[in-house]
Amino acid sequence: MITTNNKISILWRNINSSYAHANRKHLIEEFRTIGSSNSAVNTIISNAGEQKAIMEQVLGLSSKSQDWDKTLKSYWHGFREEVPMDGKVLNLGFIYDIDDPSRKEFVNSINSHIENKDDKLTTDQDLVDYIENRLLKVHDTFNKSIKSLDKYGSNRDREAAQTAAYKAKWDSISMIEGERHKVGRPIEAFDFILYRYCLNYKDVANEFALINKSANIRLYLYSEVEGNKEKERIQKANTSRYEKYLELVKDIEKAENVLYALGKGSTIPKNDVDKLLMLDEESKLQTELFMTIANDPQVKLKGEIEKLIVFNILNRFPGSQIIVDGTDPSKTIGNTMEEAISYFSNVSNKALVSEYRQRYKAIPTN
Amino acid sequence: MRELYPTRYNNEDYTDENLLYKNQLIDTPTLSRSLTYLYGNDSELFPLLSLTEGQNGLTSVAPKEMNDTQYTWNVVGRMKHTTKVVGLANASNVKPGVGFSMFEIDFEDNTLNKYFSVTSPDKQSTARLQSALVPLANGKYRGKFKLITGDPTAYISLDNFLNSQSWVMGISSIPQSKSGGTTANSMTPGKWTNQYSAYRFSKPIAGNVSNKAVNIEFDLDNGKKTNLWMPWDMRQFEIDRRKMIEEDLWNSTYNRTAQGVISLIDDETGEPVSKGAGIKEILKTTGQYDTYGTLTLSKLDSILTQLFTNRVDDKPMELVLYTGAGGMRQINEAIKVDAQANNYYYKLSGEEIMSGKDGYLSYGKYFNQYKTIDGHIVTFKRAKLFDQGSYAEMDRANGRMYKGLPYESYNIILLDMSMNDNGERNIQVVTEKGRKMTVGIYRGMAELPGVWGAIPEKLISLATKKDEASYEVIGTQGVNICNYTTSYYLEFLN
Repeated sequence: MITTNNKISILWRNINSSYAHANRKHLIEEFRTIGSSNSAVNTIISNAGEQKAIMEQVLGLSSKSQDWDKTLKSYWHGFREEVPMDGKVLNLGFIYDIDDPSRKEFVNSINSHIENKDDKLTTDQDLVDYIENRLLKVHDTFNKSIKSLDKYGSNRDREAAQTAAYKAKWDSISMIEGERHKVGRPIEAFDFILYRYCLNYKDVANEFALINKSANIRLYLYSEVEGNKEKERIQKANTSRYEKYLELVKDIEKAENVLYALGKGSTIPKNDVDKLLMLDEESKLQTELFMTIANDPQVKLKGEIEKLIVFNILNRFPGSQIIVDGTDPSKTIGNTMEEAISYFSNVSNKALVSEYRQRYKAIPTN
Repeated sequence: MRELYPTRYNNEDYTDENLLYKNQLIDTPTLSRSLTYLYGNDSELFPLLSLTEGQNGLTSVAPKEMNDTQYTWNVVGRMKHTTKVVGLANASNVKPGVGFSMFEIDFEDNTLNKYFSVTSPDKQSTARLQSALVPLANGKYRGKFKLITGDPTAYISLDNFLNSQSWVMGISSIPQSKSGGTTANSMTPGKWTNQYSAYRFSKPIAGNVSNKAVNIEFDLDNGKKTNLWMPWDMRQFEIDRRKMIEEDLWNSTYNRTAQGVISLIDDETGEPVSKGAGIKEILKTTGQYDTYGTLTLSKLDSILTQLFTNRVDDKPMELVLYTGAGGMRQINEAIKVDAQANNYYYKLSGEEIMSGKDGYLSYGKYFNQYKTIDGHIVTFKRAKLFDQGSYAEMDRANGRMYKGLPYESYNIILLDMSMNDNGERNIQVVTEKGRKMTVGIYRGMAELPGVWGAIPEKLISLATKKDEASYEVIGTQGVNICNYTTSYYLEFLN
């Protein structure tokens, strides 16, 4: 038998209401309530196996009872959980026991879908890994998606891709967590099901990074383990950022290319000092993107192409990554930035690329 | 049925004859000369504005300084007896209090008074604070305690010392003789603040539109009918104006920054434009807020219990539940589901299925009142603002519909309309003294319509040479909930 310890907190989002601020000395907001919504309730109820495995204990009612469906719906639609100002700590620890008769049926069902004999769940550790390994893969995929955000030309596209990455991450986590009951038993059934409910309830952000996703968000989930990992990551990222910034300070042309590749376009100042100040600010605001771009061996070409787009020598179709000739839209330079870089690097396009460069040079500086 | 011409919205500055021609109001044959209201007649749209009409719900305040739009009111909360624990001072003490031993606890604040008792969160142990709390360098407070027990093996279990749990202070315990005095906590009233905003509406006309008649008959408020255009046009103007004013009282957002500065500046005059917190913002920022998708009676009951118990005096509470058609349906359904779960089939069916006329049956009776176990009665009032207001209109346009009604229609707002000792309502509409609402006419050569009323003597001279005139309305308003703890916002979330 393996018992895992995992705690997650539901914390208050700092709501920037100036009315609340004006009355902060006397404002007594004792609780924020996690309420119900049709979509959150329908989603949690739709996982019938999980409801049966967890909610019998919470409701004190057998799922075989004729009142089960009615009681379950009524419970979730009438849900009100008050979160005090200091937050609420949820114990998400689980007990994994390969000999647990209540999980036997689930484990057998999972094993029946695993072809390789060695991969079948036969030990307590296998049960833990069945969930945790898949969660690790989700985090890996997410991190890769975030690192590849620089391939999007515009801030709008990058924002959309980032939102999609977060959504895919939490959809996957939610799906995997929805199967955890098959291989283990929660130490605190209510805490676990509340966590699962929060993943679907729109007023709770699934992590701190998502608290600004909507003005309706009042609470967010915070994992101390994840939080510490995040702090460590930020510290490392900051160190790398300082090093890279100091390197760019010595090479103003490269610094300018990074700014163009970051999509700062027409807002880039003419003065070098102002350029470096902007770069410093951007490196803080978009650290990961800044690092990826600054370390990209193609940053010079990327910056140049972005610069040509700013000056209308090239054109990027709105809402897409397609880059075309600024005067002849039928002439495609690349469907993505990578393709455009290949185009510029290809010797057979040398004449046209040279013409673009001449046109840029011919633009009056003032 | 064929639509002869659609209802048109005109956003041009001036009302003149061209508007009437353009919208085909001069002359095509019509089936009936009376106007059919496609979406019904507008009324019952103004639950808060009605407070200003003989309901003791209007307060006028004089500004303290030029352009100061803020107002304040005194509030007093409830005495606090809880204090949050930081932890045991001696982390290696695993049996605090055992054998009547002294132990030290660190707390977040200095709520506890010497010689008073304190009870642990699990309610299994009570200890006495042996001397006054001592402030620590980290801003916390440390106290020396002894368990109140006759059992030498008793101690406080360690889970009571987990950070941020609340302990509660109880009665003081002193020896029978030679005791010194204790100390006491007190609570001073605080001041809450909000601000009012100013609004302005203008109705410019040009030419001889005042005397123009159209091919449709309009109802007048006195029951008569008219073919003149301006009475109808002004009626629309007035209803629209009142609707916007009413909605602002619910939906407005406070716009002073943390430093007290208003950053919304009018481009033309350079003056700040103030906006106060409306009902929704007040309730949401004070935590008097929850969401629902399908209402259950247990949810409604738990909110009502919270609201009624927040009021500790014996004054009768006038709690009014405002909602739209959607909310009314949800409440009715919640009560009926609960009644059916309690097997009240026969009673319900006897009420719902009735004999109608000529051998037909009538089906349907609906709840509009609920009595809590404590005997409090809550009346549900349908406010058409939730169904027909601009937010509902926007929900319809954006397809945010649930069972045929806009999301806004399902929002439920419980307002405590009680009177205080001074005969003032808990919910008040606040205006600047002398500027509740002022109406003026900017007169040019255009003939003034009768509906603008008799022209005051001072306005006989012309304000412009142009063939135009304008009806001007200016006013100030804000809303105030004196005690927000007895009101609640339950927002629909699909």
